[in-house]
Amino acid sequence: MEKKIKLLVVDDEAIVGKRLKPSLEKHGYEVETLGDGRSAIDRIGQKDFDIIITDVRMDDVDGMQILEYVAAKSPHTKVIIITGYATVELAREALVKGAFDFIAKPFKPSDLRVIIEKAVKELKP
Amino acid sequence: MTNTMQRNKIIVVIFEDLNIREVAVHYAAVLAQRINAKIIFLLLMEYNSDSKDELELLKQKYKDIILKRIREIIDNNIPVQAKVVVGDRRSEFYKFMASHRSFHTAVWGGDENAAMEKTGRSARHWMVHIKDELPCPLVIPKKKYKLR
Repeated sequence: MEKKIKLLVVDDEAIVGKRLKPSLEKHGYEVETLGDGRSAIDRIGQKDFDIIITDVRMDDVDGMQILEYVAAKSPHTKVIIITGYATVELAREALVKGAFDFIAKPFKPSDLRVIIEKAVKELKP
Repeated sequence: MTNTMQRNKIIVVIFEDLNIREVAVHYAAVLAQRINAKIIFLLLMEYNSDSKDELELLKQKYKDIILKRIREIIDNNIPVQAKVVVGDRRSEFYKFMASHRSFHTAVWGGDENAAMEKTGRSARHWMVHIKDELPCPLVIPKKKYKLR
């Protein structure tokens, strides 16, 4: 049996995780959702995720800090940045810091799924 | 000689489909000639259910169509490139802009009326939401410019 891809969704807008979780689970992914950056850092410290989807603007610990933490702790993990405050500068910063991809909110679930599928392909040895 | 000269300035012309607006191509060509720039024609396509391999073939096919059409419109030595990206148009555009150091000008080659909608939360077109925050001017050409 093929191992399930482990996904973590981090967004302080609860509705994002609530909507993404069932839609991604339907496609065979194992999905956890968290509503703040600090809990995400703690969880990433305990568990090895394949893909992390994170919002940028969050109180305390933001998405860029999560990206930096993941790059140091678990460089094989693909980080996808989602944001409602997209700018060219932010996209550049995310990509320079090693984000796998960047998507502006609102987005269609199918667009995110395509990015996840691309990330999964890169995870496979 | 023109082709071998180094052209650091880049003009990007944005399309949303294969309906190539000649006014946009002409405008970009005239500007490129004047400021010694190269032009990148960027086609932003929405994702549909094509598989990745088919998608790659489709992207190449669209790229060839664009370049052929461009060369029919501007038959001079201005260096041009075509790029086709697939996905959420706004996100793909941000990533495209972010992957280059800077652009001299962005030229809108899509639906003229869509990009000229009033700005604000109610605006429907993605470009309306971002045109004021682009790192370079966005031009929506309306009249046909003639090449020298």
